[in-house]
Amino acid sequence: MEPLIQVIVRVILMLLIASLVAIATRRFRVPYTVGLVLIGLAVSWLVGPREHPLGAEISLPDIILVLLVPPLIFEAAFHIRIEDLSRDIWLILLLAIPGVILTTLMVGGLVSWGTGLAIQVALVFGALIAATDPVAVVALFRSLGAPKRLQVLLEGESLFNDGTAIVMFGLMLSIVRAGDFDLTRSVADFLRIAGGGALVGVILGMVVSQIIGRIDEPMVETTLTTVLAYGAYLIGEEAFHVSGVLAVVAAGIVNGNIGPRGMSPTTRVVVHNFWEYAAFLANSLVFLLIGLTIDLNVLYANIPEILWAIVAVLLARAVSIYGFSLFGRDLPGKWRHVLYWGGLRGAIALALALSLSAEGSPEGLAGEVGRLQAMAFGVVLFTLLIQGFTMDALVRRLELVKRSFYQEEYERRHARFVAARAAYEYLQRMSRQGLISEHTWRRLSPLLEQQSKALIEAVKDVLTSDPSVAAEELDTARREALRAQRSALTGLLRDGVISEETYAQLVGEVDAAMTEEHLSWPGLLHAGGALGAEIHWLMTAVIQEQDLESATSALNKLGFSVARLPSTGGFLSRRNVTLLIGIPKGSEETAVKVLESSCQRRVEFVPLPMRNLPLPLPVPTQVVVGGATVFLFEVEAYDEF
Amino acid sequence: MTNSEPMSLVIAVVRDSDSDAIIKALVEADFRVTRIASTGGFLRHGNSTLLIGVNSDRVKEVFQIIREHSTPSVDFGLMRGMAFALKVERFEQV
Repeated sequence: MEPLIQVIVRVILMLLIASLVAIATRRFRVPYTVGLVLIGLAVSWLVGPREHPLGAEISLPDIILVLLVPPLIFEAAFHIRIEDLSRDIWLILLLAIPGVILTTLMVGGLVSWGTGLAIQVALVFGALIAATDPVAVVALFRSLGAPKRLQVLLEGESLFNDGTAIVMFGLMLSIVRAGDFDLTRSVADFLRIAGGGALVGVILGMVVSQIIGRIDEPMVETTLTTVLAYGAYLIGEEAFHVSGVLAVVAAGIVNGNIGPRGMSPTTRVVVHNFWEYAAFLANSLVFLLIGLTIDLNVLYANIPEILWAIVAVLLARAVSIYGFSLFGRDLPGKWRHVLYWGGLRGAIALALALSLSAEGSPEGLAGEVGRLQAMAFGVVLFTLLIQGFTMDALVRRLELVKRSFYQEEYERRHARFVAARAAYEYLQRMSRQGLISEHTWRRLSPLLEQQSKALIEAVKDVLTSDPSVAAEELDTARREALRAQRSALTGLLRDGVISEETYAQLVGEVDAAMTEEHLSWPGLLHAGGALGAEIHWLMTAVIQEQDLESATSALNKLGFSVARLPSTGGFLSRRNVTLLIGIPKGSEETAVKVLESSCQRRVEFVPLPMRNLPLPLPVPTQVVVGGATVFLFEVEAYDEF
Repeated sequence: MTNSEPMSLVIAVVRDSDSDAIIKALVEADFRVTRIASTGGFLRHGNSTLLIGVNSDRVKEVFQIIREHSTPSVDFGLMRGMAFALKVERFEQV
């Protein structure tokens, strides 16, 4: 077979397998990436591991690093909001730069001590294993609805540490090659490669965002983002010899935050869907390739080294997470455990390990390549399978995703109602078909109707006692309504009822409403009565900054007009936010309840310097934070525009 | 100076980019304006809050000026700003 045909056949086969795995993992509640690795392992065990799963001409590390990693990283960076990122930027950078250096040194030292590898060689391993790859964990967070800040922390850390770990890896290799170590030169190289990469990415990201702002062609704009993702990597890596991965990260963040401003709503939807699919594709191939490449026999032959490596990696992660997170502003204690256990290793570690080859490596490293690869495979497999599998249980155990009493009660009552209605309709059909007698139906139907009515009331009770549950359902309804409108418009266009232009204009309006998350739906709500009244109260609520997102989105969904002002106050001058909320007569209790449920009081630990010590030693001190301080004023006149 | 006429305090939240024009227009119409806060932040549209003390019968006039000097929103249906008028119990300039 011709080489190209062979590659295509294999890729298509892998995509087919990926689709099947995706279906199966959903059914068995296994993380998708874990399923892919397991299937890959099974295939490699059956037909033998493939050093070149796609054909002999293409090297696997190149495929992963040049073809698959840029879209993955770009997609993650594109969807991170600067506001979310900047909140924990110091912690993320601490974990991604000193954290990676610390991990490299600790893992290198421990592995060298435990397995007798030369320290320079062990440090190469320390660097290549330092990049975290939390795809599986982030997907899990999304499906469980874990706090967004935690997702951003984990994703942000991984975005930046991918870049720094690759730079470290290059540095460690050059140290092995040169045989000596020059601290100043290493630091200078690190800064040049990492900083240069980020700079290249920022510039390219700005340029492409400018171009996107000037045109309105969804397909072309999407294509430009693709050009940017790969272009940033290639220009960084090949033209300037700086970090390509960091260039992609920077380009993605800049483009994802500035670019969409110059896009029409339709373009935004197209770009979003495209990158979601591209990331799914790249992820599927990466994890399947991981499984296919790992040789279980090699793992088996190196069990003691692998165990050492796993212990070293877990220890280093513990030190870096529990150590650096002391600097994290108001980071809940439980999150540390999640960040610790969520430090999975994946594609980058594997690609770097595979890029080592016995022939091309300097003396001292050449003989150990097999061992390093086995250790990397072992660690990746351990983190993916053991940590990936148990993450779900950990998140549930720590009760990170708190479902309120009302949420659960709503679900139960709603389910009972749907079941009761189904029973009613089924019996009605049976009686019409003559399967049960008219007599029985007449006796039963009032009972069933009564039951349904009681349950409708019961559901309504829950919805009115917890506005945030009502807001959630309303939001779902709104999205579904918009989706239905969109597909109706597409139907009209297909049937030739409306012109291309009308379609574009109307779909643009629907897309605009869909992309605007916080847009209230006053029309519907005001029709409901309670909120239809004129604005009668001005509520000033002072809340903690970390509750801002949940509070404003719940208020907006219920149709309240909200403006926010940054303010400072409270213990240690922690940042808080003052909300100005316009409230119709009679709805003040609803607003208070929303604030109550979204701004819960909680206990946190703040490192405080201990007094009377020559060295100020931070001691975690317990503080109660959260809650909301609410003032209500009567409004004489109100205007919204 | 103590004022015996009924006074209102108008709290208006407007976009940063509009605030200068609004303040200028208000001052020209002989209103006194204080700007208190603005959400800055990298790459983000911020808000400014304006405090305007005004005789109660001129509240509508203030609302009108603010409305006229807020540039139309690019995003369909998005709120550009809001203004509350609160009753002032006591107003003094000392």
